[in-house]
Amino acid sequence: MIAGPMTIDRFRRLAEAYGSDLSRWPVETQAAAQDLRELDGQARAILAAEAELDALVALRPQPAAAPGILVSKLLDAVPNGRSRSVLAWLAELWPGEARWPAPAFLSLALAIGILAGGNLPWNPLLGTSSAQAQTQISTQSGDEDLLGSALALGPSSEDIVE
Amino acid sequence: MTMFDGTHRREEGYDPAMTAGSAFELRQRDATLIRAVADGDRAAARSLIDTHLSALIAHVERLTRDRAEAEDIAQESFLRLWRIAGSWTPRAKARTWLTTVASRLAIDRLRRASRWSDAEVPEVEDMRPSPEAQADAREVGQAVEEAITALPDRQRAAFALVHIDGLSGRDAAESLGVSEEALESLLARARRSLRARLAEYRMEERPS
Repeated sequence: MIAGPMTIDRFRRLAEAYGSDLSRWPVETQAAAQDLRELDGQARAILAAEAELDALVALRPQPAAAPGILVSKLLDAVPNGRSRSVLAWLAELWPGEARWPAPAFLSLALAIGILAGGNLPWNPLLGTSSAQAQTQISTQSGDEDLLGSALALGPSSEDIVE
Repeated sequence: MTMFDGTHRREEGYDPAMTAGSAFELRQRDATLIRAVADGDRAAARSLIDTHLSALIAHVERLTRDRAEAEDIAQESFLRLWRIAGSWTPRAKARTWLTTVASRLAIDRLRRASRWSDAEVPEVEDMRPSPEAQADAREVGQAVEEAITALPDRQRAAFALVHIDGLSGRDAAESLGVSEEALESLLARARRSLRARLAEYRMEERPS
């Protein structure tokens, strides 16, 4: 997005790109654009001209229905029911706009592990204490791995926040 | 000259009435469905498919101009959603996620097949004869779809992402791998081309 004050020229360039509906414009421009629309008849004329094209575009045909065989394939590929991560479970327990940075959970897991396992005996098989080993395993199999796998598959929901 | 008042507008993707609050609710609803999919709930999967699949195929078809390829890419996008369903958090809308993944898959395929042009194509005014004055909405809609399909690759993709699938400029730019300034330029040129091609159908001035 090109930064700068909301002049009538800037307003026109945005309208020519994003159309007549200000809610489609970059969020950071919307308030200034609404103010200019209220105050300036030229701005309203610019939007009216773009609205003509928007109305035409809205007339394009409905998308054709997806083939039934494709729907069946996708339904058959639904996971078996044991694929949710700790992060997803915690996000459900605390709905809202809360951000769930994985490092915070990993730090919490580490702290709990140290507190709970500080006096446990040395584990000769793992070369560390059981608590430390458990923390390492938890970290390696936690959400960072899941998100990393998702990145290989495509963006995770964390990468696309709209 | 046929008049169109916009009342035919229907929701293939973008919801003009959507507020920030309803966008939040949409993300929560999507998250609930996707978590259910991760738990093996086929009804939740069916709901997501019914809501998004046909529009996703239409979006990819605009990019690839190939229906079979569009169905294949839409299928792959949904399969990827199933695979990451267990780690989904409600920070994205399913629609945005699916459209972004499908766009990237489509553009990658088109580039590999040398069917995607990063070059800028000069805007050309359509010189076809004017349509009949009494063309109905279906004919106009078809003309609109053809005009969109005729856009150069990057303009078509940018226009579809923002004006049909309802992605924000930032998300659309990320999907295309361009800056927001470049996206704005692509959108403006796409709209100019469409306006020229569809000049015969422009609605008449209406009182505001």
